Amino acid sequence: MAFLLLHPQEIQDLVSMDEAIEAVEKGYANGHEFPVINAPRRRVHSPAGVRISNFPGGIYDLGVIGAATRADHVIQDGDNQHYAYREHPLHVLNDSNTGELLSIVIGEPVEKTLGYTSLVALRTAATSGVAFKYMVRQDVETVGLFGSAGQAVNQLLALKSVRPSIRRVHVYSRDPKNRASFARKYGPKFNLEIIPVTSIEAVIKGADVILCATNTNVELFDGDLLEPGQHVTGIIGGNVQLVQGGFLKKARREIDNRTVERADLVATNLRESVISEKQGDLYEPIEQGIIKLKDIVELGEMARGLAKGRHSDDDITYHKNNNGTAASEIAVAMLVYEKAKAAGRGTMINLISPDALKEQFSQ
Amino acid sequence: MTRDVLLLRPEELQGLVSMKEAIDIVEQGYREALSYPAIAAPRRRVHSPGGVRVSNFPGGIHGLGVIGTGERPDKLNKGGENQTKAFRGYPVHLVHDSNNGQLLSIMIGEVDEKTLGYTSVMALRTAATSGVGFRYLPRDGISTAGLFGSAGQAANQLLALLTERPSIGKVKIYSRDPDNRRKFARKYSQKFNVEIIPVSTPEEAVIGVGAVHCATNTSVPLFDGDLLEPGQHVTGMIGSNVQLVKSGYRSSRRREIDDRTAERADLIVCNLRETILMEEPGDLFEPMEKGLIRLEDIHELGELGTEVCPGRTSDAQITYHKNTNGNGVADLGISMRAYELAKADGRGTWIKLPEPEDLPQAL
Repeated sequence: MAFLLLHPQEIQDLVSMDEAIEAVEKGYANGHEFPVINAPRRRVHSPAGVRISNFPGGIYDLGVIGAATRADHVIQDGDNQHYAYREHPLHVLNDSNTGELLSIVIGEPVEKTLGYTSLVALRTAATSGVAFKYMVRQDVETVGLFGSAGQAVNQLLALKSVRPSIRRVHVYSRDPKNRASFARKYGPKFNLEIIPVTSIEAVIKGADVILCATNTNVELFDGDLLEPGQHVTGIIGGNVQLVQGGFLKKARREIDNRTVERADLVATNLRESVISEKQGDLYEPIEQGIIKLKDIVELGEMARGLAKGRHSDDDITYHKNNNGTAASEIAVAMLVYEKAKAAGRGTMINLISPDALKEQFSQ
Repeated sequence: MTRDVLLLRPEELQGLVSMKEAIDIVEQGYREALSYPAIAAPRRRVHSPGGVRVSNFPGGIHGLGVIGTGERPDKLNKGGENQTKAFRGYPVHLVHDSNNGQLLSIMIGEVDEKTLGYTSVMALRTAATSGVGFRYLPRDGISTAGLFGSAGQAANQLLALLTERPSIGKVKIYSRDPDNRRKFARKYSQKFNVEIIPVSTPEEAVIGVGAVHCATNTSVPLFDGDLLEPGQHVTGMIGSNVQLVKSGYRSSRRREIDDRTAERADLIVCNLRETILMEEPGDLFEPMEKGLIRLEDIHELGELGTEVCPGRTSDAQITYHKNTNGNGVADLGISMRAYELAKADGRGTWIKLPEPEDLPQAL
């Protein structure tokens, strides 16, 4: 028995955004077809603020089942969330047919042309990417972007991968320097016209797609600003344990109730997470009777062709990329493992067989 | 900058932790989780269509400075009155510091009781969890016990009972195969220095004993609850999950203890109440559905020995601990102890990891 141990520095340049989107789509399609293979993220917290996020699940089309684990030391600072420490995530990959341990992947899988940017940026963006395929109009040109850090870069690349027609981006973030440097760096890199803007209204007006990629704890814009035909993606999940553990007074928000009310189509990754984590952006509108849980479409339903996605060019569509699950974490980690193995990377670790262990250690 | 993480393999986890230490740790874990619930979570299982199951155990004990997760794969054979496994994978524990989130150790393999060695799946933690019940629920000074089962779980569970009730001098053992119960009696009467008497019917294992202990792989009830006598304590350790039924692996929920036992018990204790709703373990969920017992009347392990539930309050009570299943609070606590002892003993392999912030940043 042996498994491949992969270190963070061995997995930096392996996976493209296109490949990640395809793998995550398989993950959610499998999870919808055979629901017991996936589970919502579950977090536990220490009183000192250390948070362990767990992602058990698998993708049988990729031959994998396992769990991903990530430790963060989380600091809540008023309206924003920061990290005092972010540990390498760990991915334990087992063969979904035999159960055997294939690999322990230590470190964050990153997009190969972007490198390390931000926490779980590749899989978060690839998950948004699955929804872009089904929810964004075909001919879009203009993007409104909230945020100018790693998540913003990856989300923008995912949109460009799925809708290469995009031409210009209006970027807003609280710090004018950050939005200017984002525009300078990624305009040429993505061959896009990126324009820093000074108001929230300027992000939304005239945009075809609105991407939220910030670390906010409160709503970013008023849903009344939205225009027919727009697609909105939000990426903040936020679990109720943050409130129960005393780290936040109320559930995190990013997108307001009005957006939910106006949207013709609301999609999320896994409905079960909305309930199990009481995620504010969807849970609160459900509690207030603005939307019903059963009217929210899952990514897996669109991926399997069971739900249509956008119906008309005038629809306002809204994807709450509520959080990663194994369908994304393990899918991307499996790609990393296969590519690293093919490239001869990593260290094979031999394990004693259970029979030999029994022979030596039963007393 | 790099930092070292201790990789521990199955043979390096042997001979480290005693039953007494494990019971103390598990008690501390559930007790701390009572006052800080966000550090505990129920076990969550995911299943592949190929029959591979991954069990995920997030949690920690801040008093011991640990938080993290456990992951264990196995492959089940279908259906029947007993559960058997086609493959049993080593658990992987990812042990983190609960103060700063840093990964301390990757542990592959089971932590077995130091005097018993390799026996059965997760036997030390399962027995130590029963042991917390033994501390508060059987009458003081009992001299006899009845034991169902003659494999590794039975040996560990009996050691836990003898650790907490050293007054026991006589044990009646029943298992389906007469050879197995005789072998168990021969081996463990010497090892534990108690009289162990093989009996040929389930009734004999129940009648006249102070504590009845179930440690089998059954999927159907072992004895009729009408046989129970005032003052007895019953422990069951099968905590199956409803996903086995949902995924077609079983046609009904696993049972071990009947409805009548739940109905007659004056005090019922489970490990975590949240598990009952999430996994619907038949032994408690089915009597609840029938209105024989109510969720709010079931106590949690962490409440034992506190004002909420001191434990047994009269010699005539029938007490019943459904050791629903292991949880991260128990597993990570025991893993932390094993890590500390292994490290002090110079075991394992140090692997160097870069600090996350030292990885190449955005390209």
